[in-house]
Amino acid sequence: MSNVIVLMAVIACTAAYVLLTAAIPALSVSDPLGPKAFPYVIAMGMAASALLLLVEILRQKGSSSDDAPAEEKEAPLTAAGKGKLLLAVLMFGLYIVLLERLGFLVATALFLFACSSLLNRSRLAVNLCVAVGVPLGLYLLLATFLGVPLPSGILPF
Amino acid sequence: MSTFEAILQGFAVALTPANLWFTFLGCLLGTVVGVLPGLGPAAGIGLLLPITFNMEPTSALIMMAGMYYGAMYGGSTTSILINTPGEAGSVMTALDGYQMARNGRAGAALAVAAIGSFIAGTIGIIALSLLAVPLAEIAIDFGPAEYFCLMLFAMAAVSSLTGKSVGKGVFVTMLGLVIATVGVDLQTGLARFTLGVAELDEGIDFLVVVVGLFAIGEVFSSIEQYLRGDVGVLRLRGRLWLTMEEWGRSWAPILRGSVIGFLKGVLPGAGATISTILSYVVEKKLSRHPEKFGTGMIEGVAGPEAANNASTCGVMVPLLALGIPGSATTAVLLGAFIMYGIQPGPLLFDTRPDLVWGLIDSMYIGNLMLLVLNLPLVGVFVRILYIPKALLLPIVLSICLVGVYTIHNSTFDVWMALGFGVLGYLFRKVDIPLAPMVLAVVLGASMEQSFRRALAISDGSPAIFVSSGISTTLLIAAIVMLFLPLIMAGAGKVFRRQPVAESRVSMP
Repeated sequence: MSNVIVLMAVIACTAAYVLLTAAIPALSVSDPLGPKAFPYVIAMGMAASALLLLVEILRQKGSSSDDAPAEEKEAPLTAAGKGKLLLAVLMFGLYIVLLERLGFLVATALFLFACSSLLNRSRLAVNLCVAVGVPLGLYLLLATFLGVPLPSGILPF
Repeated sequence: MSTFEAILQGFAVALTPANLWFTFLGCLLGTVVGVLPGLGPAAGIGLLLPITFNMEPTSALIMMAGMYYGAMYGGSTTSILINTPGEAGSVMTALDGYQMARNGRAGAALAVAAIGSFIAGTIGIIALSLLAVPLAEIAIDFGPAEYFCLMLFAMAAVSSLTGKSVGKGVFVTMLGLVIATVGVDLQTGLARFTLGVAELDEGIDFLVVVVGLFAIGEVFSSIEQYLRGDVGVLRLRGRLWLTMEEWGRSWAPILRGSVIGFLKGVLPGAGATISTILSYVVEKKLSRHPEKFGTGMIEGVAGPEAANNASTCGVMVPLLALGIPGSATTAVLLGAFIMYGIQPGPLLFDTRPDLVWGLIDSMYIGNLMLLVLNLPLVGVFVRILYIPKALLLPIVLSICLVGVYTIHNSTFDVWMALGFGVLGYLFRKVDIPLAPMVLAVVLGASMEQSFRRALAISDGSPAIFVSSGISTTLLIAAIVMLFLPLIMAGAGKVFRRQPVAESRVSMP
């Protein structure tokens, strides 16, 4: 089933890429092939992969599934789990947004505390210590030791 | 200068205090990366790259190579002790290694893994030293058409050998090429696929792709596993030595594994994974008690571990001699070379022998360091696994953010990395392999250059790609690679019986 979804995605990507390639303005100055040639080759490759996928899906349907016993199907994630995963991704996004506004130290500390507490609410004190300690450590290592500039944001240094 | 003299000169480079320090640091960090399940050497080297911007290229590459084989050593530790391979090349080790641990022979398993890896690494490096120059000399005559076909072959091999579905492998390779075509086309000055976004004019940095797909994506998968409640069980090890009997059973598998690993490593396409599987199968077939494999046979650890390490030397051969990566990690290494403005390939041996041989010789030293580090310090490394995942995973995420941000001081890059992270997570869910994508991203620009140059020479005629023996052979080999799984499916029922949990482990 998931393979069929992948196949749909491949076909969609191929179509999108071909359309985008066609939209590149043509300029046959020095290079007779122009900037579209290679992208078209890539599109052909994608179409070929769609065919290969189709062949594989048909073969799977046809033959007996001798793959099945070897696969261990993992238990699906609970709704609460899915929610936490999504929240973690969103937290990371927020971290990126706040990085330059609040500066590396503050943003990282906030993110580390929030994310580790999301994953393990029972050890808030430890989370707090790590959330403060790790950014300081990284800052020392990168900014002072290796000379890598990091955004300072609301802090004076 | 003869090869032997070049090797000696390389030691002069590798033995400077600074480079010795970097070898050590690379091996240490690599072992840590290998021990941490999820983060593999590709992600580790990707994260290390921005920090090395200001370093001397030779030193930086020495450190990264150290990380590569350090990760192999580290990965075996977790395979044996907690049945969780730290990276793909250690999956086979877990089959018998963990059983040995359960039987109280963890120390022996770890010892044979370390010693086997050392012997294999040494053999591999010697073979690398001998093979690299002749191969480079063959490639001096390669024109753009030959290079194009060579890259095509490498990508075909990686697409078909990584994972179970060739179609998915080819698709993801194409995606990688698509990413490589984003940006301003150098020959015509036209912006392609930038969708009007100014930051995309420079194209998408391969590091963003690597850190996103391999590191961030892996962390998301790990978070999911953590939330699902998968917890590894840790066991303390026994005495760290082999009995004479165990040693007697191990040395032959080690030698066989070294040969298998090195040869497979030279051919592009998932060197470590396949060579370890091959070694395991060979040992099982040659054993007098094949039915005992899976219950703690030391041959099942010695062979694959040797193969694993030898393959890391094997993959360096096409990388250094031809500029062709055969795996995700070597693709990242190639990206590093390009970033420093160095083009690996036949000319490299002439123009920068100090770099090449310094690098190769540092690998001798690195292997020795790892042998010394691993046996006594195994307990220390394993303690890293005690760090609660709830803390470790967010820390890794913040390291990823810093790593990507510092490439161009741009949050846009980090957003893209996040996007690739989500993509990597989704791809893992549907069993789409990631290694071919990285290969394609790194090779894409050169591939297009070769393509256009070849057609410019031939005035637009595609016949140039079959005009020389080498290019035709490579094209045929590429096609064979793509259909290999279909051919093997009929003949290879024996390969299918190994329960390999590859989708949960990052690619080497």
